[in-house]
Amino acid sequence: MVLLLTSDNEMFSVAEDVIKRSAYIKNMLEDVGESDLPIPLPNVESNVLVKILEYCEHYRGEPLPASDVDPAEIGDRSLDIADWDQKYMAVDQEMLFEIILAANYLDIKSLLDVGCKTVAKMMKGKSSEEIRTLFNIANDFTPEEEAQIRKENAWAECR
Amino acid sequence: MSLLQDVLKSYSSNTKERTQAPDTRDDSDDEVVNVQSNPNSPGVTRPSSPTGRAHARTIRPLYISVSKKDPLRAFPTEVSQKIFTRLSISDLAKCSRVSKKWNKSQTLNYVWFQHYRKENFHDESLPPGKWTKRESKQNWRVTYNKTLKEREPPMVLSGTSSRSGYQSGYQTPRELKEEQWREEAATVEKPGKLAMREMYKELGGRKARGKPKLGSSGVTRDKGGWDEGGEW
Repeated sequence: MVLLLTSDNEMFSVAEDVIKRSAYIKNMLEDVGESDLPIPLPNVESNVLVKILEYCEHYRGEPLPASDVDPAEIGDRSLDIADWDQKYMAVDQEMLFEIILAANYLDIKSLLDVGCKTVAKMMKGKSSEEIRTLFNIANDFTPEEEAQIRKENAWAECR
Repeated sequence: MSLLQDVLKSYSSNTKERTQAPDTRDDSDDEVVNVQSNPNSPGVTRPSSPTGRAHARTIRPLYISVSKKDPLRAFPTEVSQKIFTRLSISDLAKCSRVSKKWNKSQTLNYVWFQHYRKENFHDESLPPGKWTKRESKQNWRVTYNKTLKEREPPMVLSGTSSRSGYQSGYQTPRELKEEQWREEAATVEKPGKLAMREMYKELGGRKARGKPKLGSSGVTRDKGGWDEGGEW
């Protein structure tokens, strides 16, 4: 069992083969070896870690991704998400962002990938105004500036 | 002695200015997109700045700040890149109109740069291009749009295609171009390319005679002046 200590000082005891989906923890265990000391996770709160462990638990036993290459980098821009992953990601936006940050910190590639796909999917097909609403962003362009960019984008926006 | 004092004074004021500089930096500078400096490139690489995120966290840990909902502020650059890389060109273009920060974001610029490379080398499996200071200074969204504009006409959204004779609905690049020209000729108020050509023909090449092209007389395809005898 591996002990994890979250930012809000909660201790979690997790099976090694579950948490090894996190390359960060996996490498740490390999470097440090057997230890009774908890691994501090100062960037992860307990409610987020619960969610992360749910993911690792579900994929327990599945082979770890071999490649270090991000599929999006080599042209895979599909936004297909497995059914279970979609349900897993059906959380409020704050939690979604926290999961992505934690997946990035813990280096869980498949989870980070699903999280990024989910955010990209939220933006897909939306207008600029809808994206602003989605992420609570203020439009700080003057009408002229926005018209100028719209003009520059004439070819790209209707693709 | 006074010279030395002057030098020292100016030196100390210089260092003061230098130490103050980081505070006045624009917040967009916290995005550093894997800038690689060539060993022989001049100038000092800017040190990575303290991120605004950590700062906001310590000040207001209990609030969900507005910026935390903005992916470009909430996530480190590598994560934002992963997100925006997955967007289509049209979605990416709409992102540039979201806000000033999004428009000048180097993360988005980097994604445009990758699209530009892939579009121009026709290779989807191309590894990411080298992103140096030089690349970061170019607006790749505008560059990409320009190449699109040169290569293909905008999609005809309405069903006004005059080419109904073609059953397949498929148009060769040449047909697309011809249709684009026809539309341009019809819509543009100032004389378009075709209109200009017509005007030029009406002039009977007189314009060309006035301004001969340097070192190209008679060899170029445009030999308006020389055809005059035959036409009249």
